[in-house]
Amino acid sequence: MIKIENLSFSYPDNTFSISIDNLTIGKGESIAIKGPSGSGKSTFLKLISGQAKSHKGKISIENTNLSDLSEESLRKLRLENFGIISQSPNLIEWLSVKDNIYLPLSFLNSKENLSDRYENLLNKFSLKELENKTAKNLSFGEQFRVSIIRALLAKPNYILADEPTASFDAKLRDKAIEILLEESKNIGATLILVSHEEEVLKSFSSILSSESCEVKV
Amino acid sequence: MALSLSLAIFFTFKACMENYKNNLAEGSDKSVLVLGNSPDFMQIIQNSHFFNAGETSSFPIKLLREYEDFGEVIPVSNKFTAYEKPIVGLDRRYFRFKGLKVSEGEYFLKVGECVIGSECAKELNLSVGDSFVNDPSSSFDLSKSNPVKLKVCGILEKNSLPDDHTIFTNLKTTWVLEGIGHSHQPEEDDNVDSTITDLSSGPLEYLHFHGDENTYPLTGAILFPENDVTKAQLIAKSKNNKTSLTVVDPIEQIQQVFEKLAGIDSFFKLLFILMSISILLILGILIFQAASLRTKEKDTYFSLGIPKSFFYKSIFCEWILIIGLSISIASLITLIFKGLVLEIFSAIT
Repeated sequence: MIKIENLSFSYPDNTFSISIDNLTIGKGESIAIKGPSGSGKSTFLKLISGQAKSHKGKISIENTNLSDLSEESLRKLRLENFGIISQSPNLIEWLSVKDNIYLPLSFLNSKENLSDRYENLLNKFSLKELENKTAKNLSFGEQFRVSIIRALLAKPNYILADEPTASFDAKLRDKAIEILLEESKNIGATLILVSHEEEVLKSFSSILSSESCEVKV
Repeated sequence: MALSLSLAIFFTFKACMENYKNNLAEGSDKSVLVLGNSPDFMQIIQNSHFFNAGETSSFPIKLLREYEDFGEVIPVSNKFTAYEKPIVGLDRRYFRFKGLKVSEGEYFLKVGECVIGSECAKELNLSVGDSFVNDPSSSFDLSKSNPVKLKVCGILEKNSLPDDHTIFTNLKTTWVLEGIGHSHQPEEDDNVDSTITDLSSGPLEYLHFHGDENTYPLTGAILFPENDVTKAQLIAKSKNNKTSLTVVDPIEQIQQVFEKLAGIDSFFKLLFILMSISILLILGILIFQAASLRTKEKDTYFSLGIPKSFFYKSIFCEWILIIGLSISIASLITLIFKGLVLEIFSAIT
């Protein structure tokens, strides 16, 4: 569960700020955040994953106040609990598709054999043939698909997706959203997805507007 | 590559300098002086100390008489070669003063007999009892004397000195090589090769010398002064001498060469420092640019929760590999080119 109380954050140059009075996102919920460009959607995701600090108010993940955690503890929390899909794919160029997908897993002490899950996700996103290709030789859309699989593989508790379908065509977009919703439901993960596409937002029952910080259901 | 090349230049030059210094210092006995008929000190040292038979001026043996009051004087004639090894004519006292012993055979006694250095014996595959012919001085000048057949009577123990690469014989043998002495072979002897003077076998009753013995030529002398006072007197005498003979202290000259080399050494050290600074600056820019290009990678690790130490460790390992490879390549280049540079060095110096 994610609980936010009286959150207030602004960048040091005061060009931007967000504030949220009260917000609770339950375990296993899927919520979409919409809003115009620059309204704080990506910053919100960074705050709840511990990538940005120095905020006022309280952000709790499973009753742990993020403000009480050190940088190292936040890093560990992020690695062990979050699957993150950024606005750009952020793959390691010289690693293969497989190595990129397994990268966060190599730092977790997980003994679970995820090779079947890996093969399953790879096939769902039609990337099996590209498995051994290095990331720099993939198209932008292919890289994005790899970053989605990377976020899902380790069965995280929270999936944060920032405009994950921005570079997809309609067919692939619908497929990607379907897989994200299905996977998050299967593993019981909380899915928080940022998008400005109406077609994507339609798939979510809970929508948070970044302008009003109100949750519209 | 830039790092490798600059390191290779420094390593190669350093190795050559050390090699050259060691070569120069070989066989340097503090008490020995050398004498020659040349204003060029190094030429005198090369001829009578290192026994390099190069272009040298002769002088008559009688000019050495005035030096005999100051200590032992060993006349030297070093004009000829056999298989490019110097044939040095001197007397047997040289071996006693230098502490050189024969490992096989005995010291030369008769004209035509030779004692050869251990490396000479190895390279020319000569043993006691073997004979060989000196290198002709010119195939086209008929006035030059015939080649002479000589005999090995002894081989010196190895002493890691220029003597290892030298053929020693008595002065009379070298005068035969020069044509001052010769032999008239019987005309009816069909087995005799009249193009070679054979001193290696048989009686030498037909051997004789022409001219005044006092005028017989030498190329230098090795002087063993009695003490430091007579040593200083000898050097002073040569400076005041009306003849062209010069007495040289090889140690002092070699030290002066070392000082000159040290100057060159310092120059190259400065050059290396300047090169290194510029290379380090370029490397610094490259590292900074590479780090900037990898900011995205670092951000990816951060967003995924991967430890920062992983990123820095991988960069550290990369640079260790680059530097290690550079040093290895530099060492390889040094090994390959050291021989070539040494040759050029020797030719220049």
